[in-house]
Amino acid sequence: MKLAFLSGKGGVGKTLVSTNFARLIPEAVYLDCDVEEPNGAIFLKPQIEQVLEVKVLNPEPLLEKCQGCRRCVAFCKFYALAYVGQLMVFPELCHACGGCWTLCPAEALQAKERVIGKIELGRSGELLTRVGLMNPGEATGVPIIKQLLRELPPEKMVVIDCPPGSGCAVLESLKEADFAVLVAEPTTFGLHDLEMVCELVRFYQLPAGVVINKQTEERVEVEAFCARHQLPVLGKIPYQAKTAALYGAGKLIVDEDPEARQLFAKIVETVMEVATIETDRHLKR
Amino acid sequence: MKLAISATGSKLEDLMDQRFGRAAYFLIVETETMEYEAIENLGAAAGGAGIQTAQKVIDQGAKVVITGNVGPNAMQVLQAAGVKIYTGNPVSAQELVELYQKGLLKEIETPVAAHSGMK
Repeated sequence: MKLAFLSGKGGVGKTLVSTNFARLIPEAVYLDCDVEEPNGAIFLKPQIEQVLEVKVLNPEPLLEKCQGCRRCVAFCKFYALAYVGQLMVFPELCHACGGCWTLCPAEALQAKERVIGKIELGRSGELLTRVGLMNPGEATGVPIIKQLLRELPPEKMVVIDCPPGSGCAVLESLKEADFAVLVAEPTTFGLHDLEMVCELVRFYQLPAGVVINKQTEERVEVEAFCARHQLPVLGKIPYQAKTAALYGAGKLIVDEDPEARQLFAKIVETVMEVATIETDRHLKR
Repeated sequence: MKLAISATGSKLEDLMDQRFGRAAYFLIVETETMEYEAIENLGAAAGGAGIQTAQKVIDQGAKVVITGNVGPNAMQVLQAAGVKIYTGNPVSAQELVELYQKGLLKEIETPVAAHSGMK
């Protein structure tokens, strides 16, 4: 079973929920796909066993062969190429699609490997960790996420900590998932972005449920939204100072706070139950 | 000679746009006749606006650009094409052409930080 934790809005608690969740599942794999700002390792403190480079193929111009036809410039949707009497390439804008060298009639562009980030493979107790790190200034972390999701041990539970938002990096992180855990906070922005990711998982027909973080008694809009959209509420984490203090100190709340451990044990149970039912139902469809 | 001025509107009376890559319009002015053409700069949504805009301005045949700030990528493209870049205050395009002709505008050869036009 592969579970993706996403939220739309940033700062809602994807990492809080996914790291504490993973801690309670022996022999799971935790993937940090938030490659622009991965912070799961702050809490899980894995021992790094291996570091892999992530490379992409970018075009390298062979200026003496270029005939100035500009097909590559016209093709590139990311403006990574310009022609001003000579061909210019801007690798940090390149999304590595390979279109430019495929189209070039003069073989004036060749593919060249470039490192855009790395993956740290580690272990935190029984838990296996894979953390993706994108180099600053890169256009996209998608190739790193693709590599993170490759060759996952099929017998293991996989916890995927997604990036915020609902863009390309999030879609890529969802590709292998069987079930989505939408982490939401009961604020106006939180609800707005929950609506966006809800639309996203519905579009991909990915079964989903919601964990409400920073829950208070007076804010009920997220629960009302879940009820309206038949989204199961998988758990609620109360808004309280001790949780924030532990999180701020880089601690896993399930390790430090017995109440939180009990709460998360229940969330794990509920998620497993609902995810199993929903994915079965989904497979039958 | 052709000048390209980043502008907030499509007329010579309109003010200069401080941004290069994300300028609303470019006024391509033929300095000998003062005839001009306005091109709307329907630029890149995400990245690469500077490169795309530089390419467009060069393709229009401009040898001089008058603008506020130019980022690193756009600067590289403009310089590779031998285009000179002058910076002015956000006054009207008309005024900037006159200031340029009197030699009162400052030439720039160093870019501002990337994505400055997105703030």
